[in-house]
Amino acid sequence: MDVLSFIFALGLGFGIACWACGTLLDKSNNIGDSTGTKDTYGVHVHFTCERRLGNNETNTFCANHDKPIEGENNAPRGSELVHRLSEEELERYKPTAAEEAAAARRFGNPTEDEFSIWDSQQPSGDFKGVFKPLDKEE
Amino acid sequence: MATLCKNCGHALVFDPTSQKLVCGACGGAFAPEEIEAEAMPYREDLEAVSAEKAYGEKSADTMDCYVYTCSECGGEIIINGTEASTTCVYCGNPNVVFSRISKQKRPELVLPFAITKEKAIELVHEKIDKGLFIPKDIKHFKPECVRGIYIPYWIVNADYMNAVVVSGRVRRGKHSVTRYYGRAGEMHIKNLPIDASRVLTNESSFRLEPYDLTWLKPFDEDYLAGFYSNVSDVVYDDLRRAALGRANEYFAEEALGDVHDGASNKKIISSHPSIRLDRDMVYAMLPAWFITFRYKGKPNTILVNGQSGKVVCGLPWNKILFYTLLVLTGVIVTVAAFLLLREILPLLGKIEGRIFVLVIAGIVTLFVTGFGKMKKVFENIKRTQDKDIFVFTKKRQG
Repeated sequence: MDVLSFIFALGLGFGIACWACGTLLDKSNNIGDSTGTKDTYGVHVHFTCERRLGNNETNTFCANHDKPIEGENNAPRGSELVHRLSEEELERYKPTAAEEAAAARRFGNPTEDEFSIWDSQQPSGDFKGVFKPLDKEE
Repeated sequence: MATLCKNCGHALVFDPTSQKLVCGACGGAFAPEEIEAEAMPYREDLEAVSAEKAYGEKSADTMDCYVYTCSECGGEIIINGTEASTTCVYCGNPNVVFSRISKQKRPELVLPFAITKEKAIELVHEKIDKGLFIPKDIKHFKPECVRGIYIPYWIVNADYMNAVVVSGRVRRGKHSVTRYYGRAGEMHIKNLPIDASRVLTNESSFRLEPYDLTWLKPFDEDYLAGFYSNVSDVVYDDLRRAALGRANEYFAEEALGDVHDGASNKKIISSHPSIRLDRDMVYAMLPAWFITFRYKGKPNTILVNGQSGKVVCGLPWNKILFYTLLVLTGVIVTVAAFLLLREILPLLGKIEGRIFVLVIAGIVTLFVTGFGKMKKVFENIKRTQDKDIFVFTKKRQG
């Protein structure tokens, strides 16, 4: 029993020491370790779908939908140096009607335009019943 | 040079305390919007010539060097490819490279320095003097150079959408099970400043936040007088990546907070983000002090937000003191825990498997949390000792 007590005590002792010294070191030597918060930039997430997922649904989503959307329509090329856009460029890179509709309705109910944006981003195939970013059934 | 004193013709320098252009010779003070930069019409077409072109020789040393002529004394000023304002080494007068901030390249807004050089150093000392593990040599550091630099920023608005799967552990009777939750949503980010200088890493510039953007003023070259500045050199992909990273963080925070259900150990296991930046971004100059010093031969750069005075750095630590304290604490707690456990364990009889697992999990958590905090410090020390930022600051003439 003494050996077991010692092993537990050793783990606990150095575990607490490591946590305490790590915290002290962080406080002492890591200065200004914070960034602008959500509130600074007026961020408020409007959830369009909140639900529990089954294992199958989760696996299907992870396998098929876990891809970042690359690029965007009607915007300057990614390799271009960022610059102030001229009048002509602003006209050329004008947001599409669907993008404008989505921007205009930020915190209301999803519109048909938004459904079509999300749908166009889904992989092709029959994924009926799968958790989708915007689900009309919800 | 941007502006001369109306009274004596001496060069004016922007003073953060009075928020005015001050003459070092006669003491005159003028609001930047009151006076016109008389030299500007004559200087805006004067371009910085590449060193290779000026000297007719090609070498690695002159690859990113440009030659500019001081408008006061005619001396040669060497600047890099993105510098927009500097100081002449010969006469000490501030110089603005007008060709780099003219027409479309010109920033729309500027946030003037509110913290003086002396105050910035004082704030750094206030912070580091309290540090338990900061070596004495660092506490008494002598800055090699202190440069007030206007960092170029793009202030962006963005629409963001995402769908994530959150996993969490939920207790069911004697056991816990993993459950999955789908969260999809959208958000709008307003006035997010993203630094437009490739030398400064996003991690460093994000830590300089927040800047109070309500104090932004229409850009005027006079605010640059006496400070250094750079122009934007990032591409759209850099900007999107930085904005997406920030938006992902904010969405994750909200999505994890939105899963109640008594779930613990919540994490996002799958994410499907999309971001659209508004096209009409605002180009602005935001202020920061760069303070460099050497410790044990290694370069260190401390950043100070030029508006709020927030100090940003990760500093080397006193290893002997740290490990002595770690071992001492470890030994004391081990002895105390051993004496306690020796009494308690026999009373409990045979240790139940569940208690055993809980104790082991608790010990592992303590170790992981402690190491996690130490790792954060190491990463920030690495950023503070970044050679590129040190050279970026040191290369400024003056």
